[in-house]
Amino acid sequence: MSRELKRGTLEMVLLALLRERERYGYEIVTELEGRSGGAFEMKEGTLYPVLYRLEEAGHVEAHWRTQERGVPRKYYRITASGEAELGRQVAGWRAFVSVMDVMLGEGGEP
Amino acid sequence: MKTIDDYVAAVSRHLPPGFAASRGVGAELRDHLADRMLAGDTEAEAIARMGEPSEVAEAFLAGFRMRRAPLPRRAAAFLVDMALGLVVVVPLLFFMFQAIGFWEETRALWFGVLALLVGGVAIAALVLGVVYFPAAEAIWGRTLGKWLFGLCVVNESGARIGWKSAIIRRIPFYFEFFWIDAVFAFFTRDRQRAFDRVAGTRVVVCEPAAESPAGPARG
Repeated sequence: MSRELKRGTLEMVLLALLRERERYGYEIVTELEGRSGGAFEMKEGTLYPVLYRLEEAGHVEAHWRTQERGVPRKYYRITASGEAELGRQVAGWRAFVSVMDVMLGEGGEP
Repeated sequence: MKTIDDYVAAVSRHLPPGFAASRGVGAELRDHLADRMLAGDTEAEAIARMGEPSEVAEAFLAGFRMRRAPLPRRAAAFLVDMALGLVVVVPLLFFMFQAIGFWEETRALWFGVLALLVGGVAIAALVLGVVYFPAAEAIWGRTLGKWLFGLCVVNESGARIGWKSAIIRRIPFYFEFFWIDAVFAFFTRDRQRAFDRVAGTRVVVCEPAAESPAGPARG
């Protein structure tokens, strides 16, 4: 999968994962790689800036929780604003896929 | 990049002062790397998966708009830095000339030696004053005056500057055309002096460093 395509859809995919339940960074990375069959493999450190942008935009919120081994871990969960943003992005993506199907001769009218 | 601590420090070094600490970047990266190692990676493998520190730092900064430093605060920070220099150098020069005066009157050897010693220290202080600005900005991202007023110097992407940029932006001070250079700050969008534009730097408001926001256990 091209880098631009991954970059353009990463926020949407992250919001979709967080809609299922709250998660922490490493868990998100392994979930992304596992579900996509490696298509969403990425430099793992670059995940956090995307999460921080979503947090700054109010689409996710974060809280710290201390683990059994005494190390604090930051968990992310989607907000109402994030749900709305996810809905908007998914609608936009589906519309885009429909148009591309038509352009590539794969489907009917958009 | 030998250890997790080295990696986290390398990422933080590319970020403006206080940025990493205020967002718990270090704690989060460490936790992630520890999880990788628990899953079976060696420390080196876990670090390799994270990406180059500069790449990760640039990604952090890509989504953040840093507020440009208000001109009055920049001016105040500059005055504080200049006052520091005067407070150190002026008394030294005063004592040096006093010692020279006493030596001329008395021809006592120890006054001459004292004048030489104090003069040497004054010259060293002057030299330090010349390198103070670029050194402080290259090493810590800001001078003491900027630190007092919550400002720092970053490059166009928001990352810390290096020695080359720190020296270039100081050239007007060394060749005494600072006032012409400073006028540009009134007309550029990011309040950049002319040599800030040449060096690709800007002065911004830096957030104060805060403790890692690791909170109490919940649920």
